[in-house]
Amino acid sequence: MALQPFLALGVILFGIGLYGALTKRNLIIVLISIEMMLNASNINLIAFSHFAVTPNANGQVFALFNIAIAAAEVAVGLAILLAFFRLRNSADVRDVNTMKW
Amino acid sequence: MQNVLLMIVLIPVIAALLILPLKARAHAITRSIGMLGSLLSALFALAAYIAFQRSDAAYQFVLSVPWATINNAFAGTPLTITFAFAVDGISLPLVMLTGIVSVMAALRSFRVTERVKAHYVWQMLLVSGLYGVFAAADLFTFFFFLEVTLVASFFLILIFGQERREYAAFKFLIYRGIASVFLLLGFVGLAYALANSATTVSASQYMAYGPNFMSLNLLQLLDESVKAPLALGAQTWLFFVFLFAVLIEEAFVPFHTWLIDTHEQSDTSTNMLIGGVLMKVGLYIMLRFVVSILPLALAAYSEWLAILGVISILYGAFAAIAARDWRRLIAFSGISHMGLVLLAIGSMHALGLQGAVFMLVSSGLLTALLFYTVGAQAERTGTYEIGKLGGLSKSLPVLSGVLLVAALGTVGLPGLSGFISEITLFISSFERFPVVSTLGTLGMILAALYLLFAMQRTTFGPAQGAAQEGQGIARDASVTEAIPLLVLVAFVIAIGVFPNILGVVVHPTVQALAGRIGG
Amino acid sequence: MANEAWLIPAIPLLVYVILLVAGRRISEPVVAGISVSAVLLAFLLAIAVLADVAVNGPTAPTTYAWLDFGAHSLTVGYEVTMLNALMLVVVTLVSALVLLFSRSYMKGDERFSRFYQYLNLFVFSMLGLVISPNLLQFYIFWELVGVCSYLLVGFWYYKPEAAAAAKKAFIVTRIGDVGLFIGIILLYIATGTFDFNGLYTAGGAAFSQVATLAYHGASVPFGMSSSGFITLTALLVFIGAVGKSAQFPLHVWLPDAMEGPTPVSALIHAATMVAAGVYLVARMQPLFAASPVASETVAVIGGITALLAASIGLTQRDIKRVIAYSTVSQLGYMMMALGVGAYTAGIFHLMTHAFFKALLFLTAGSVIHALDTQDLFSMGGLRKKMPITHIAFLAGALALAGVPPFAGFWSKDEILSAAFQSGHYVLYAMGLLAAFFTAFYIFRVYFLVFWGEAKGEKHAHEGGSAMVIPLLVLGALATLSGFLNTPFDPFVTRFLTYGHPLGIGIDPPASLPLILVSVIIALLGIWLAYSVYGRANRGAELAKRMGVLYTLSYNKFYIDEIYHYLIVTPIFTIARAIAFIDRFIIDGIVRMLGELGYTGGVTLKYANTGQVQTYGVLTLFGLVALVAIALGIGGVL
Repeated sequence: MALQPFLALGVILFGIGLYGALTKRNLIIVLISIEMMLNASNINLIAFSHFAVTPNANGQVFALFNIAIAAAEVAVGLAILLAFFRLRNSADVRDVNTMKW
Repeated sequence: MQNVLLMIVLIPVIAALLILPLKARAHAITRSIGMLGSLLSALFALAAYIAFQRSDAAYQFVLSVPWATINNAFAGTPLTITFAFAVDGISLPLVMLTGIVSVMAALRSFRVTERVKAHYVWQMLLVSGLYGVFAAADLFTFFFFLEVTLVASFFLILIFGQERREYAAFKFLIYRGIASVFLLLGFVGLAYALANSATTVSASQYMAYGPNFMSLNLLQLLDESVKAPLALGAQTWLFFVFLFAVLIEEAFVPFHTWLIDTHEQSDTSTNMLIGGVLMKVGLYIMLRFVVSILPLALAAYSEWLAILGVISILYGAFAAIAARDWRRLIAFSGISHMGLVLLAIGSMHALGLQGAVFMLVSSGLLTALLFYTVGAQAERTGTYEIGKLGGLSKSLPVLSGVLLVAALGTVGLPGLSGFISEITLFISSFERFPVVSTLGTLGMILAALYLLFAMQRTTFGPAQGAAQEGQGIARDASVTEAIPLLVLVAFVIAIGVFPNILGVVVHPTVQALAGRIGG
Repeated sequence: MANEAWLIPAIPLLVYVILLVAGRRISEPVVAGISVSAVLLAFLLAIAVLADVAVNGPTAPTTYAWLDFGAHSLTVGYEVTMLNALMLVVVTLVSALVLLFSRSYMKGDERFSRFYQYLNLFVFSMLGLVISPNLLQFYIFWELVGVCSYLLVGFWYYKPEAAAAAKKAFIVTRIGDVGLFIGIILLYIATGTFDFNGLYTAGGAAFSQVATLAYHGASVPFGMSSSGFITLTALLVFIGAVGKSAQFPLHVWLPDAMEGPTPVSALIHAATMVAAGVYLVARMQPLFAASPVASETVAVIGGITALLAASIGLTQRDIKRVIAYSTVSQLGYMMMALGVGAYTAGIFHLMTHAFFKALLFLTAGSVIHALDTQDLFSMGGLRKKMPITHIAFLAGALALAGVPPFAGFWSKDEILSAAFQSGHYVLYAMGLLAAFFTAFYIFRVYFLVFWGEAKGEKHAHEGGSAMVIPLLVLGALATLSGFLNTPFDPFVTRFLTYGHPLGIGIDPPASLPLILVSVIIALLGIWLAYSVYGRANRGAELAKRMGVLYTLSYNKFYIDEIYHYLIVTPIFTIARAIAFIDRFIIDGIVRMLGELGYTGGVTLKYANTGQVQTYGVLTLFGLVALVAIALGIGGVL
């Protein structure tokens, strides 16, 4: 196996995630897209550590950390989302504009 | 005695720290601590003056407190940042000036009734900063304390000023902030330029500093600049960076408008400290860094300095004639007098440098005195506007008399401190720039014009306007008020009649300094 | 005795300090008593000093370090020369009498002790000026004299005219002072010294040898020629004298200075302030003698001043103003004398003038005190009511008019004959015309005040003995002091030229025809005054006949107005223009920059839409751009 296919997968996943995060109007989809980008980076971490000059498990360890952080992030994100939905009765990302000028 | 400078700088800070935990209503004890702190520092300054070796041109009371070390700062050598203090014949008079004015300002601040604590805390920090600037023997120390003065005066203006205080405070902050940036640029440039030139170090210095040392210590930098003078190109760049900083810092035309607003908006004790002491820092930078380290550039552009000086002299004088507010008048008069100092520095002669130091001290005392008197009058009549005052001689004879002394001193009357400064600096400037100096002497006539016009409107004539209304409640200077007036007047007269009390301290240093610029 | 000369100025200074500290607690008689006796003591000392130098010759300067400055140390000290020994006597004598006179003139004034305090400071400054051994110290006291006159002229500060006059006096003389200031600085740069004695190269004992400056450097400063430099400095010094001694064109302050109390006028005009300018030119005589251009200028300015002021004096209505213009005119004579090289005549006239002018002012003060008015046309018939004042004024008037044997005759005549004999015929004619005017205007005053009908209700009477004694003493001096330097026995000339001082010549001998001419001119003036004002006041007729000339003279040739439009207005216009530029252009630019920052911020804030996705897209583009740049330049910056 070579490194490139994994990296290609990572890039594709990251690209899809980025596209989704920047264009989708639904906040839940945006959150999911962000998760996708995180997973893309996990793939890269594992791939690089596996194909390093001296292969090791560091990447997998960090990937596990990432998954844990992602879970926490989703929890916080969903909580904010819920609160926001209760407040505005909307899950549209365009309505999240209280921080403008 | 070695720690005297550290004491001078630290005591006001300690006073500020002691004031901080006090109750907001504990006015009396706040004032006492502020007063004591100022007085103690001033006494230490006096001790330094007494212990100072008169005939020695070198730095004295050298003290260095290491603070932090940056490894690998410059070409592999570490850079130790220190708080270093020392005074010589140029800075000692200014330390003394700070002492005198700060005590008088602390007494004046007795009149503050609201937010007393904040006033004293910031005032103490300002005083400490001013002492630190003049006693610094290290670029970092200098810059550090300069920033302290910046912040402290900013808050003094912002909290205790008049209607447009916010505008004035931010103008002050922005202008002087820009000046600080240029100064920092100049300092860094100086440190790098002199570090790079350290190829001619002696064996002992090699042992001490290594092959590529970088130092922020002024003594070492001065040493280095003699051993390996900077090339004209490097000097020129640094000269202009410093010059720009000084022009803003010292409010030379056309960078002066911040000073006018500051003085018009600040309260009296802040005005005394800013006008009397802080406004001498810019020219002190000129004497300290430019004259001693960048002599070639100074020689090349000294005509520019003279011309800039004369522009400020005349512009300030004419603007003062048109001023309708006493504080505005004093501010412009200060600008005009600082122009004289620039002219003197441009003349590159020991006598001129001595005149410059004398003028800094004299103008500091007189500015503080003017602000004090005018503030005391305004407190009674409710206005600073010259046109609304009149006939104060009758209701306020002491204040009017002191105002007259201050005005005459500013005009340059012999027997008061202004004259000896003017004559010495004009002797040296006439030798080099006869035409420009002749224009400068016009400032002497104009000074008589604006001050006497304002005097006549304020103190002579029948009582009118605000003065008349205030007559019922107007009381002449009380004892606590009279002390600062009399002390300041006493110093003004002492320097005027016995200039040697200052001269013996200043002379050896300026002589040595003039040696660097071939004067 | 001459070595204790420092005591002479020290005594009034001491009194000044005493009055400064304790003045309010001392009663009027004590204040006056201390002051008068102190200055009298100084006068006695001055006599002793004069006697000493008359026998032993001048003393060397005694100096003390004032400001250490290596080779250029500045010193202060004192010295007694023939000239200043004489000045000390004149100044202390006149001052003592004026102080005594003030006792009753200022009686009951709220600030009586303050008045004496200032007077003592004034006397101190003048005496300090006289015994200064160097130009720097001279200049210090010179300025102090100016300040004292500022304080004294503005003594009645609540009168707006007095305040304005004090200010005007200070500022106008200040213009001259700056000239002097530049002059002494240039002299210092050239010679490296301020000492009067060290300025010139040792000229030896050769009488009246032309001096040259003792250049301490290799050459004359600024690449000037030596004679050019001497002329320049002499003229600058002369500008100072022009300001202080109220010479044309800076004479405008002196008549206005009449707003001060009359004893002050007497002191300023007779012995102290205005004499300082003449004294300066006399003291710097070697410098002026070395420059023909400068001496000619001095003579011409003196001549113009003498004539101009005399012609203004013809028509003034205020008694003090007439006498003030006569002072300006007489000072012009002194300058003329010094300019044509008649050194002793100039000094001698300074001395006699001090006596008779103090006399005239004090009598005028006595009259004003009695009548409470200064307007000549509301006075009259005082001959019988105030006999002593009348006699004293007559003596002063005769002395001023130059009628023999009164003091003014001898000294003025010496000046006129020196002008004639040195070939300055135009100046001589001007001086003669001025003498004619002088005789006319002073007797116009005399006839208006003392003859004719009494006017006004106030009952005029003589003042107390404190007023009368000075009048008698000065009257005697005005009558007799001329005999100190007659052509038959020129005592003052011998005294002043003791030891053949450098650069000072001997005045030409008097000639009988010239004396006759000036006596006739003076008598003509008096006769004209008598015929116009003696029996009835026919002044209005004369004024009508003179037409434009009268208007010009009455309005002082509009010089004040001309200055107002040519100097004062432009200065204030410039000041206003600069204030405008300052407020709206310079500070305007500053505020514009501030506004620019604010507006920029306000505008750009709309880029913050709050849309996270917009930010994200922009960030992405930014990243891409950065990467592209990094790739383009082949490396990460």
